[in-house]
Amino acid sequence: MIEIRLSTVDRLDEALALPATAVGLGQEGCLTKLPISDELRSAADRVRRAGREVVVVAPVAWPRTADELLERLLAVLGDGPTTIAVNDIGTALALSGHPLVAGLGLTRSRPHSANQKDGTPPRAGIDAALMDLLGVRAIEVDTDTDVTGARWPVRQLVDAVPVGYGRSCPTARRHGTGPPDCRTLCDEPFHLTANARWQLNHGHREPLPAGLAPPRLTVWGNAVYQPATADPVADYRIIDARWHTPEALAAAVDRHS
Amino acid sequence: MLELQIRAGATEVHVGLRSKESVSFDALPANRDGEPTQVSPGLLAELVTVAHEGGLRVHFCADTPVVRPDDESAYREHVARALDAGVDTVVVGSLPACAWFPEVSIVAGGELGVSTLGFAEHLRDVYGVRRVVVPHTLTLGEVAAFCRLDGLEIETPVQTGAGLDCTRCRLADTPGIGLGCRAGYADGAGVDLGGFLDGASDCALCDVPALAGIGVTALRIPGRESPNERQNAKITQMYRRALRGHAAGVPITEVIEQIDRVELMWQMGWLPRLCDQRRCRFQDTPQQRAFV
Repeated sequence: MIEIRLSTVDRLDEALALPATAVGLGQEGCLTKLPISDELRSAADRVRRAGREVVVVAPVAWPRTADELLERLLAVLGDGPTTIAVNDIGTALALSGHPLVAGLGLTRSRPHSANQKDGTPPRAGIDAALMDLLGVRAIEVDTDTDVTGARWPVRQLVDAVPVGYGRSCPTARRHGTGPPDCRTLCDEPFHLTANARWQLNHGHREPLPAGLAPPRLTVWGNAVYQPATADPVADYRIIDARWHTPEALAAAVDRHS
Repeated sequence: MLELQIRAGATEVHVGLRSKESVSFDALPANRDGEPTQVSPGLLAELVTVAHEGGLRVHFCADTPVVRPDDESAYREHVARALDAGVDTVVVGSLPACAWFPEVSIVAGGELGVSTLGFAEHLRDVYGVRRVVVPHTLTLGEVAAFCRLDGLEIETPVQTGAGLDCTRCRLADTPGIGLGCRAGYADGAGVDLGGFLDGASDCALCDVPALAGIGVTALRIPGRESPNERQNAKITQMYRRALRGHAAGVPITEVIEQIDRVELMWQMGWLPRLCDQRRCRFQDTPQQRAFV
């Protein structure tokens, strides 16, 4: 099964022309980027009429955005069958009883290492007890997350691994602005290469260790991604259209089908 | 470190205990950039005794953001060891863990990511949580909204924070770059961008009167991973001075002038690294204007 994920509705025609089973609308990081209510409802309606599953990705809610987010989500839910990918516990609790999927923002958690000498964290896994509490129907993960023995259907993002979300959006800062004026500034990615490290015990940026291949990151809005290095294993695959030209998106859908 | 903090004016401390398992049971790795963050059971009991003698409340950090099913019994034993040592509260970072210690005073830690008022109310009403640590990326108005909730103490981080959402961050896991939110980056053309991802909200000293005014219960200063315990205690002392000044009706500008006259650290460290770079947590800065 394939879900094409769109952060805006601009490529909806293209997505509906491809043999995907679901279309995801939104992203995990930012309410400003989520289509406004009328746009979202109209797009969701078109997806339903095309016979595809509608997934609305709820960005992480903050005190000043939580009410508006909930309003938009409930409007779409009221229109017809909709799955909400929730990315924070508060939104999940507020939507209890609706069809929920634990989004990439909710499956980020991982314990730290107890090794006194080596701080390398264990591989990220799923907080099973939390998923039970929230009553989710499925979980979204990246290809770095260990889903061995997962008791829920797994939906796997194939294009990249999200590694951070900024409340203070780096893209908005780069352009010297902020919500709502920044809405279109994150339609293009910004590529970064690490050139200095920062260690707590030194407290300043310093040269990278010799021989280290500098990590490369991609910033879309307030979300930061690393390249995916592992192959997806889940049957349900999420293809984020932002990473693909129309030709490449069609090829990716074909490849993962 | 504890004695320095007591002399500096701390009224509460957070402690972490070494785990017997492969995973840490709190929000920090056992070793953060070479600095140990957790203590042995013997030292924990000693710390609790000294803290209580000094009139301090002791919060036990069991705030790992996830307890894997295989680790649950070890996690419960870990917390039980701390309770035996006499800690006053248990700080949790996982929602299910809120229900595991019904007889204990539970603090909803920052790792829980309590980013909405509804979530805070749920913790209070369903789990009996009485204190919530709010995320470090909130505006003053948002903190005030949490403070208006009945029956909840609000603890807010005031010192250090890079503007990223820590509960979802794996940037610290990227080998070789340390804390990735603070690391340096270049763009595709090799142009140095400095700390591009660093949203810089390291200091709230000027806002201590406002925080006290809206009813914040506790100002949190990170310390367990601190590489310099004297500097860390000095930070506590600065905030204590600001709180005492506020209680005495002294404007914060005057308090800071007094600090400037007697503390070398102010001119050498605080001013150039925090004030000059506008690393203000609750002020109107470009970093805060970019809050999503």
